[in-house]
Amino acid sequence: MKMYIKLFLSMTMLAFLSQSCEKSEEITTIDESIDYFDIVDKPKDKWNELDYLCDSIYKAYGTKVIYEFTPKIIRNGNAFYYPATYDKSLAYTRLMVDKFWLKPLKDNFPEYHSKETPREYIIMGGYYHNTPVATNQGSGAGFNGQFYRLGMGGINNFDKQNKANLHDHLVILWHEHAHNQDVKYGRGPLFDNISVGTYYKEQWSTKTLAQANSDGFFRNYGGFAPEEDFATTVEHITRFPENTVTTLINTNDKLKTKYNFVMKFYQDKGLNLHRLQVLCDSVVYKTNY
Amino acid sequence: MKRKQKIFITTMLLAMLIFQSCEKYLDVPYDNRLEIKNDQDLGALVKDSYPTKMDMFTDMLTDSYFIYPSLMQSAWRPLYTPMYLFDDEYEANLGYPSPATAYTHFYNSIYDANYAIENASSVEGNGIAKDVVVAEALLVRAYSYFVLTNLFGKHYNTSTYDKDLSVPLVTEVNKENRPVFSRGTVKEAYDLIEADLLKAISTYEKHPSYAPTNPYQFTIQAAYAFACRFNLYKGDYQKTIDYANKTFTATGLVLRNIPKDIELLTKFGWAYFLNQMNDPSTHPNLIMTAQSNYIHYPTGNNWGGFFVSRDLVTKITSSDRRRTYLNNAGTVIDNANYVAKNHTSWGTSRYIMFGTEEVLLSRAEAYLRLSTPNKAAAITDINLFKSTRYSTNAAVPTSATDAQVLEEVLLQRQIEFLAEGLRWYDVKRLGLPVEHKLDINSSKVDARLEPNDPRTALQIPLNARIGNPILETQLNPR
Repeated sequence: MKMYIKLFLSMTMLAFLSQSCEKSEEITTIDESIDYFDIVDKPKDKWNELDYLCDSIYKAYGTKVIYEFTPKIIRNGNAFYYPATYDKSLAYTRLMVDKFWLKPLKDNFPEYHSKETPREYIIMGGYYHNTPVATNQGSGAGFNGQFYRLGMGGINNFDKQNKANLHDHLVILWHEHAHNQDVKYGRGPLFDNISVGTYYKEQWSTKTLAQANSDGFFRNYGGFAPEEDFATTVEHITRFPENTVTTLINTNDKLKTKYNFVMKFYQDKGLNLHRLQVLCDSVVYKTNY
Repeated sequence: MKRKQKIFITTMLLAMLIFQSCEKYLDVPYDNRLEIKNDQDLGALVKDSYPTKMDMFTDMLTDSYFIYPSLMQSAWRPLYTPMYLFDDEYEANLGYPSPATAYTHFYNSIYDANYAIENASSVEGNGIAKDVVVAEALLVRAYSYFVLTNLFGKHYNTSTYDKDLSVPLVTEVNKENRPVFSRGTVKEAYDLIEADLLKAISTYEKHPSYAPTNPYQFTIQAAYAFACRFNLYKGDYQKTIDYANKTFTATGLVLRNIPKDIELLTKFGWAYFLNQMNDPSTHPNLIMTAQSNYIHYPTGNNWGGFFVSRDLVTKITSSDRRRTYLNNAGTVIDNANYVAKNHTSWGTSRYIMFGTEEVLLSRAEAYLRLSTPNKAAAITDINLFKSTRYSTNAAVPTSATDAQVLEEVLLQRQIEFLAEGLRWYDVKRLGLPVEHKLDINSSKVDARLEPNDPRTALQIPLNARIGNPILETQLNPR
C-alpha cells in the first residue's frame, strides 16, 4: 500500500513539474526588437567570398565581422544604421579589418589582442543621421561605448586609393576602440579632473585647434566631454610620430598629464601607443595593397 | 498539603512577577514616539517637521526640459512619460518623486506642525521660546500649503480664486478614526498661508533673539524670503519689494560667488564641487533642506531621461558662468545636457528652499509690475545679478524698454533656477505655453499646455483619494 502511495505522490509531483516546465517555455520567447542587429548564421552552402573571409578572420582573430543586418532605428527619430554595399564591405574587410587592424595587432601585441579585441565588428554604410557629426570621416556613431562590440561608419565611401583617408579611418578606429577600453576599465577621476570645469560641451566645434591645444585638448572635439578627451588623446598619439607628440605636450601641462595618463593606461595592458602609431603609418603608407 | 502550599506560593509569586512586569511595560510608550513634555521637545518636533523639495519633479513638466527616453532608467518610464505628457494616468508608484509622493510628504509636515501648534500651550517651558517654536511651525505649515496649493490648484487669480480648488486645509490634529476632508479654495488657502506667515513674522520680529539661526530652519530672513515669493505669486508687487528689502536688511545682499565655486571645481573635481555647492558656511542661501539625491535624479543625472531644452542651452552663452553646471549625457550624438547642482551618486544633498538670488530677481520683476513701474530700480537689480553671472559685460542698457527688462529678468530666472524646481510655478503664474515631444528630433508635438490650462492644476493623486474618498467628487476638471 505504501508503495502505491509513494508512486501516486511521485506521479503527481512529476505531472506538476511537467506542467511548470511547459508554462516556463511559453514565457521565454525572445523579443528580437531588443537587439540592434539581426545576426543570422548563414548556411555554408550560401556563403559568398566575404562570408568565407569573415569566417577566416573569426578563426584567426576571434572577431566576428558583421556586414549584413536590417537597418535599425537607434535612439530617437530617423537616426539609424544601415549596412554597406557588398563590394565595399568586401574591400573594406579585406584591407582595413584584416590587414590594417587585426593582423598588425595580433602580430605585434598578441597579449593585448587576445584580451582587448572586440568580439564583434559592425560595418556600416553611412553615418549616424540627423546629427552635426554626420560628415565626420570616421564617425563611430555612438555604439562604441561597449565592452565587446566596435563599429565604424562611412564604409560606402571606402576608397583604397585614398591613403590619407585610409590612415584617418584607421586612427579613428583606434579612437573608437579607446571608448571600449574606457567603458571596460574606466578612465577614472584622475583623468577627468585634469580639465574638469573647462569642457566646451556642445560648443566644441566653434573652437580652433590652436585654442583647443592651448586649453589642454589634443583637438577641439576632445573639449566636448571627458570621454572624448580620453579618446582624442589616444587618437593623437596614434596619429602623429612620437617627436611631434612630444613637441606638443611640452607646450601645455594638461596635455602632458593626459599623455602620461593615457600612455600608462595602455602600456599596463600591453600596448605601446607610439609603436602602434608606427604600425598604423607603416601599413597604410609603406605597404602595397 | 505541603505540595499544594508550594503550588500556591509559586503561583502567587509568578503572578506578582507578571503583574509587575506589565505595569512597567505599560509605563513605556508602545512605539517609542517622542513625548512632547517641554519647549525643547516642541522645538525638536518642529525641526523634524520640515518638508524637503519634494516638488522638484515639476521641472520635467516645464518648457526647460525635454524627454530623451533612451537615456532614462526603464523603471521610470511608466511614471514619468505620462506625467511629461500632462496625463493624469501615470503609474501609481510611491517609490519615486511624483505628485503622489509630494502630497503625502507635505501633509506629513502639516500633521507635525499642527501637533506642535495645538499642544504648545500644554507643555512646560519658556513662554517666549514656545511662541517662537509655534511661529516656526506656522511657517512650516504655511510653506507646505503654499506648495500643495500651487501644485494641485490653479494659480492665484482674484477673478476665480473663490471657486478654484486648492487642497484640504487641515489645521487641527485628527482625532477621529477616518475623517474626510473637503478641498478648500485657492482664496482660503492663500488666506490661511498669509495669516500663518504674518503671525510667524510678527513673533520673530518681537523676539528676534529667540528666532532660529540654523540655515536648515526658518530664520527671520528666510521668513521674509517666503513672504517675498508669496506676494510675487499673489501679485502684490509692493509687498514683494518690501519683503525683499527686509530680507536684504536682515542678511545682506550677497550673491553666489560662481568664480570661486568654479575654482574649487577645477582644483578638486566634481565630487567636491557638488558637495560644497550649497555649503551654508560659504554660500549665501537663506534656507536649505538636506535630502536624498534621488529627488533630482530625473532631471539632474545622465540617465534621468529629462534634459535641458536645447533652445535654453543655446541661451546659456559661453560667457555665462552657469554653463559650468551643464554636463553632457550619453554621447555627442545625443545632444543632451543636464544641470549638476547636486551629487550624481547615491547619498544626501543640500537643496535650496529660498535663496538670495530668487529674492533679488523677484524684486526686479516686482519693480516692473508696479502700477507705476520703476525701470531704473529693476535695471540696477538685474545688472547687479548679471555682473555675478557673466564673465563679460552683459549689462542691460538703460535704454531698454520695460518689456525688454522684464524679458531679461524672466530669462535669468529660467536659467538660474534650473534644477531647483521653481520653473513650473513660473509657467503657471506667467501663463507660459509648453510643448512637449516624445521624439525631440521630430516636428510632432505630443502634448501642448496652453496658458491657464486646466492641467496646470495637477490632479489629486490616487493615494490621496483612497485615503480621503470625498476627493473623488472634487477632482480637478479636465
